[in-house]
Parts: sequence; structure tokens; C-alpha cells
Amino acid sequence: MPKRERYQNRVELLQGTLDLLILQTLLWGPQHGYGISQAIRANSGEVLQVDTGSLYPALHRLHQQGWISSEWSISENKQRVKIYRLTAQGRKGLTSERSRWEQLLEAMAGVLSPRGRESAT
Amino acid sequence: MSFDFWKRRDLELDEELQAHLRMAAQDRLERGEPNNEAEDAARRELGNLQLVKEVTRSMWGWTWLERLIQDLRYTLRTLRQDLGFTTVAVLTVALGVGANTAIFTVFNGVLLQPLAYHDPGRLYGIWTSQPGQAGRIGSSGPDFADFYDQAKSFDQLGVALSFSWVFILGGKPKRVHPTAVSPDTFPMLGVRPLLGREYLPEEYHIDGEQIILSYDFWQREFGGDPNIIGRKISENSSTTVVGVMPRLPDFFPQTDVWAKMGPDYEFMHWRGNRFLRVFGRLKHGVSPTQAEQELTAILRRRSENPPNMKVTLSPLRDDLVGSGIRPVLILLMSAVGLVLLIASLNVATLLLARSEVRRDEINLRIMLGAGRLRLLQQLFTENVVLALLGGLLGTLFAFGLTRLLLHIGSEQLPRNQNIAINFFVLLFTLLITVGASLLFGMAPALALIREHRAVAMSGSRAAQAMRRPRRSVLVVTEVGLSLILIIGAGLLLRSLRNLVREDLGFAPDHLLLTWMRLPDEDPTVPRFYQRLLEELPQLPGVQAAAVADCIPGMESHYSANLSFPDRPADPARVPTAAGCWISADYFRATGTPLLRGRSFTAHDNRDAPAVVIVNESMAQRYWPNQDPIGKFVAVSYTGPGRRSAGSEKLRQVVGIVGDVRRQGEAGEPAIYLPYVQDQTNHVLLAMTVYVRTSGVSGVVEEMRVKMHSLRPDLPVNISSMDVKLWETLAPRRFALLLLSGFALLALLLAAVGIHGVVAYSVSRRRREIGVRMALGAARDNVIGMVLKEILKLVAIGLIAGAIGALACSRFIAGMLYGTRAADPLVLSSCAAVMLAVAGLAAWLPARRAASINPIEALRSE
Repeated sequence: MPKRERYQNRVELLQGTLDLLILQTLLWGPQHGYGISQAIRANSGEVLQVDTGSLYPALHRLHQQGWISSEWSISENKQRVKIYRLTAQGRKGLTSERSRWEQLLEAMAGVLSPRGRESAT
Repeated sequence: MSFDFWKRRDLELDEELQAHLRMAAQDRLERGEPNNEAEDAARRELGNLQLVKEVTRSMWGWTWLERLIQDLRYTLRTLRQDLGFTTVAVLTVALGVGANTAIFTVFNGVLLQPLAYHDPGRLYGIWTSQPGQAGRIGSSGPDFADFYDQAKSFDQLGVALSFSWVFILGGKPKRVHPTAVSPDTFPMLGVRPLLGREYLPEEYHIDGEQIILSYDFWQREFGGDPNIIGRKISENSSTTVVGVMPRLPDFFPQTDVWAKMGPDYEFMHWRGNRFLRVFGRLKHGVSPTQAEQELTAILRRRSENPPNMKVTLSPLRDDLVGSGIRPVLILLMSAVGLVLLIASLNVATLLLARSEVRRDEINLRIMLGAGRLRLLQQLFTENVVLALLGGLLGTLFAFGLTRLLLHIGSEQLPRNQNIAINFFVLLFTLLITVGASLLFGMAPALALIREHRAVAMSGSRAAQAMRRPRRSVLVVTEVGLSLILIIGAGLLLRSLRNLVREDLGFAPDHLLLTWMRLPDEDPTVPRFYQRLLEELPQLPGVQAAAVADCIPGMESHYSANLSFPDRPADPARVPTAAGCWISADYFRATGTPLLRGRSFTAHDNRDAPAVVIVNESMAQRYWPNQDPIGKFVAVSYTGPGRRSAGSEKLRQVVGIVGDVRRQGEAGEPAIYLPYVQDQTNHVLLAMTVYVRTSGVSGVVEEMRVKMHSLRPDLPVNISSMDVKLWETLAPRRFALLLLSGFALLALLLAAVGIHGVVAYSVSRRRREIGVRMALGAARDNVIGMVLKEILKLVAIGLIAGAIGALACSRFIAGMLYGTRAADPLVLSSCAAVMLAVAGLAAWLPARRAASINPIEALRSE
């Protein structure tokens, strides 16, 4: 079944990036899973669609790592929801993830625009 | 962490995702999507809920345990659902594991467990041998004295010798079994008396009036009386009990009393008479080979000994177990191994058939995204659970079977007090159970992997054609393995039949015998024999009576060293023959034919010229192409309690009799001497009485009364020769009984397996069969078609089995008699039995195939 393969590819592609997006979103305040996905979507100008099948495994993995904590609370719609909160460890993690991401961006830019490299030589 | 924790976490994940769905649907509603579409869209966006959950859960860690619990619950549910399958599979495993556990229990107890003595690895039996003479023999008193004085390889050296006494216990004469030991025997084993004391060094001589009881005798005859020390043991002597030994595991277990062996026994000085069993505890760091070299050198230093004598050591455990039971147990162990293999193949067949039935369920799980590893893990859990259930039931079987084995085999099994299901045995059981589950799980696992690939690629069923060859392999293997076992049992049966029908050279029917032990130095004994031989033939129904110190058809303890006046003596190759002192009517009583010359008569008495009768083998070996009658031979008689020193007189051959053989053995040279011409009188101490009857009843009782009236102090236990011979076949019968049982089990399992395969293939081919019948195929044609397919496989299996049986023949070769592994009669009749059973097992479901209603069959798919 090709569906499963596609799904797996996507998880791999988004691996590091999704963690970063989640942590960055939670920096603004505690949020539940659906809220996180909506926030990422809105803040990316509707470009990034977070797949639910990747979001929850990522949340639970970060939770297991201790980068985020969770608690049950009541949403504005009077629903019981599980909200996630960034921990101190998570903040540190976010900083290092960010710098890694920026390094990656620089490197990508270097590869994609060879002019920069020529001028350096 | 409790089970609740996992359950709650699961529920919370569910709730979290449900909340997500609701919020997503809510948002869509607010954006103006219609109610029902909003929910569907939200769900679609989320994707495969089960898969999301599974992937999320896998982030938690610890999930393998949780999955295991999940798998176990699932397994138990499916096993409960398919109770028929579960019952057959569990029973099959249980039979295989049970039989293996029981046989291994015996194997372990008899052959593997170390002797229960301090540091038993250093205990050895010491044997002597001489090239050119059959087998190994014990040592003589002077040999032992030389070893004891000179050998440096041993911490201790001890002697043991079993014989017989008669005690008067509770007013009745009773035969008891003493084992005489030397001062170092108990210290060598590292055992101390339970009560009282050991013999003092100065008590090791003939007329010491002390006795030490064995534990069993003390319990049996004196009820374990704690005040036994100082009591008189027998009403006919003044011997008092000085000690009671604890049970000496496996060391001469027949022993009633531990007698003492001292240097003042006459036989301790007969150098050439080697009947003592010598044992030793090796010093630390000395190898058995070094000790053998040292002892051999000690023997060869004596000029009286043959220059080519050799000493060999064998571990005490092997010595006490004996050589007879080892091949039987190895054979049985291999046989039950095959049974387990067949049982596993059977379960594999059942599992394959079931995995077909469960295809839809498995397919659904694959489509829902279950990973291959996950499914294999589930399958593995199912197989192990199935095997463990079978193993558990099998262990229960094994307890019963072990008791049964001990019951029927107590005489054949040495060290049988060691035979018990213990931790080590249970470990073995667990091992073979898990091994079996891996074995029978392999085929379904391979099927699953292929299925997974097929479904993952196309999303539908595929690759069915690949299934058939593997099932064929299972049938062929099962038939082949079963045939090997059946052939084994067939060969043993044929051997036993050959042995029973064999002409031993005498007539064992209508022959009664009783063994007598008479007191030492009793001057009335010769007169007693005389009266016995005069009066027994006068009893009604008695045709002839005789005494002799050998038993026809049984191993002789005595051998005669021969020398001939007309040829030089070679000390390296002393001619020997089995020896026997007999009364005049011995050959008539035992039914041994006199071929030439004459029998002994009343005239061959103490004062007459010394005479002997030889058997055919002896005549041929020592007087080839000559007439032995009238020739002379000197006989030096050896064996327990037989004098072999002093001058040997020449005796003249007066007759030749036919060979008397032991079952399964060729004729050996034998020499017969008139018992009245034994000047030493040693022969009078122990003789066997023979009575040939005409078959009327009551002779046994009259014989007992007569013997009791002549000598009230004699215990009389009369047995019949044919029963005694049958008893000597007991180890073979034991092996045959068990092997037949296992062969039968294998046959049954193979039948169940074949039945299953055919029934399954018929059910899968309902449609095809329906079409054939609709096109006009007759009932018989359908049955024929189904049978032909399976019987082709059975035929291949039979050929494979016959080849396999030949390849395995070395396991059984030593137990065959009058037949060989490639016996065409046994091979063909065993194959016929297998074919018949396979045919019947296939015919039942084939007949069902023919009763398929074509209309229904075509409609059903």
C-alpha cells in the first residue's frame, strides 16, 4: 500500500523541523495539540500543514524527552484538553535546535547560491 | 507502574485525539461547512487513527511489555475461539514433550547424574585384560596386594566382592547378599556408618564375628531398629551387628550386609584367579592414563603374570551402570527426538491451515498498517503460548510416564533411585518446548512474510501457488520420520522373535531349577547331594535330576584355564573354556545331546580316573581334525571362591556334547567335570539343582518338600528355565516396548497430520471439485484424484524414510539379532503399515470431498 510509504517519508522529512516548530510555538505560551497545528499553519501563512499523524508522536516524544510537560485543563469551549508547556530543558533545547536550523539554512543558502562562495574565494 | 497506568495512558491518548477531532470539526463548522461533511473532513485530515495511536504509543518506551500483554490477551482469545485446533495442537505438543521429558528423566538419572559421593570424578573401576582373551576381567588377591603396596596414583584402593550366605531369620532360612569390602573401600567412597562403627583394621579376617548391615536390609528385616548394635543377626551364628551403613547410592545396591575381605581368605592368594572388583580414588592431578600405565607396569613386574597383561580404568559411574543400558537409552532418546520432530511438523501443518482461515483477519491488520515485525511478534507470541501450554501438559504426562517406566523397567534400569524429574530435567523440557515452537512456527511465519509482501504490493491476495510445495515437504518429512521409527520397532521385534525361537542347544521347557548355598566346612554336604540325586528322580513326574555349578544359557562366572600335555604352554595365550562341575545325569536333565563317547556314570567317582566331557566348539578349537576322545587335558578352574592353585591333574576326555549357547551368542568352548572329582570341595558350597519333569502339576511343591526334609536349613526358591530365559530378554523387551510405543505415537501423529492436510486441501478446493463434478466427474474419480495426490507424497516419504532408516541403522545395529537394518521383510511390511494408515487417514476427508454438492460449492464463492 503506497499510502503508508508516503506517510513514512513525510515523518522523516519533517523530523527535526517539526520539533523546532512545536517548541517555537510553545514559547508563546501553553497550547493543546490542535492549537499548535493551527498556530503553525497561521504563522506560516497557511503554507505549512502539520500532519496529525506526525504531530502527536512528536509531542509524545518531546514529552518523553522532558522538553515539554503536559496537563489536562478545560478549553474555552468547555472541553477537557491536554495542554503542553515548554520546560526549562525545552528552552535550552529550543536554542540549540534553532542554531542548528540556522546553520542548516546558511549551508543550504551557500549551496543554492554559489555566488556567495565565489566571492569568498 | 501498575497495569492501570498503561490503561489510563491509552485512554488519555484516545481522549486527546478525540478532542483534536472535535476542535477540528468545530472550526470547519464555524467556517461554514455542513455538519456531516465537517466531521468526515476532520477525520480524513487526521488520517488512520489506529496508526497514529500506534506510532504515538511507540514513543512512550516500555511498550514492548505492554505489547506483550496485549499479544497474550489476543492469543488467549483466539485460542479460545478455535478450541478444536487448540486442543489438537496442545495435545500434540504435550505428547511429544511428555515422551521426551520422561525418557530424558531416565537418561539423566542413569547416565548423566554424577554419583552421589564426594568428588566422584576421581573414582574409577580397575580392570585387567589380556589380548586374545575375551573382554576385561577383575583382579586377583595378589594383584590387589601388589597395587595396594606399590601404586602411587591413588589416594585409596578398595575391593568389593558379592556372594551369598544363608541366615536363619525368624526361624526360616533366608538367602542374603553380602558384599565383602577391604579396609579402604568405605574411606575411598567417603562414607561413614549411620550407626555404630566400621570394622577395625584387626577385624579384617575370616572368623571375626562382627557384621555391618546395609541400610535397606536394616530397614527391611529389623524395621530400622535404632538399638540394633550388639544384636545377633542370625539364629545360626554368633555374629553381632557392629554398624549400619547409610544407603550407598548405586554401589552394589543388592547388598544386604557389608562383609569384610581380609588377607587370610584362601582365594586372596590365588594369583591367576581374577574375580575381585577393584576400585580406586585417583590422587589430584593424576590422569587415568598415568594410573593405567603404573598399574600395568606393576602387574608385568611379576614373572607369574602373563607378560601382555594390561590394566584399564573406567569411571566408577560407567562401571556401576554397566554397558547394556547405554545403547538402549541412546536409542530411545533418539526415537523420542523424532517423535517431537513429527509432533512439531504436525502443529506446523495445523498452523498453516489455520493461517489460511485467518487470512482475512491478517490481511485486514496489514491494511490497517500493522508492521511486518509487529505481526511476526504476535505470531511468535501465539506459538510460544501454544507450545508452553503443550509443554505444561506434557510435563504432567511425563510425571505419569516416568512412574510407568520405573514400574516396568525397575529391573533393567540401574541407578533407578536417581530417576526423578528435577530442575535440570525441567530446564530441558522448557528448552525443547521453546525449540518446538520455533520449529513449528517457522512455516507460518514464512507464509506471513510472503503474505505481507503480497498484500503490501497489490492490496489483495496473491502468490497462492507457492504454498503447495511447502505443505508437501511437511507430509513427506512426517511420513519419512514415522517410517524410521516403525522400522526400528520392526527390527527389534524381529530380533526378539529370532532370539525366542533360537535353539540354544538344550531343552528349556519342563526344566525346573533352584540354586543352593550350603554352609562352609559341613561334612554332611556330600551325603546330602548323594541323597538328593537318589531321591528326587523317584518323585512322581520327575524324569531326571542333576546338580551343576553352571546354568545353561546363562553367562558363566567360572572359566577353566587349560593345559595340554602334548603341547608347549604359552603364558601370553592361555587356552580357556567355560567350566562346569556336573552330576552324572546333567545332560539328560537339561536335554543336551551327547554327540559321541559316553556320559559320566556313578563309576566316575572320587577314586576313579579323572574324566571330562567337552563340547563341540572345544573339540573343534583344541583338537582340530583329531578325535578328542581319549586325549588328556589339565584344568585349572577360576572364578569366585574356586581354587586355582596347586598341582593340576590330567583328565581324560570321554565324551563330546553339543554346544549350549547363550541367547544371541555363538557357541563357545566348554568343559564339563564330574563334581565328585573336585578334590577341593569348593564346588559343593554352591550348586544349582535341575529337575526335568514330565509336565504334571505339583512337581514344584513335591520338590520343595523333599529338599526341605533333606536339609531344613536350605532356602528353596524354585523357578523354571524358560521363565528365566524370558527374563534375560527383559532389557530387549523393555527397549522394544518403548520403541513400539513411540512408533505407534509417530504413526498416530502422522495420520492426524495427513488427515489435516487432505481435509484442508479439500475444503480449499471445494469450488474446483464442484466444477469437476458438475462437468460429470464421478464420485470415485474425485476420491481417486484426492488420494492420488496425497499418496504420491506418501510414497516419496516412504522412500525417504527407508533411506533414513538405513542411515540411522548404527543406533540400533548393536541390538539386532538374526536380522540387519536392510531386512527386506521388515522394510516392506513397515512401509505397508505406514501406507495403509496414511491411506486411511487420507481416505476419510477424500470421501467427504466426493460428497460435495456441486451446486452449493459453485454458489458459495
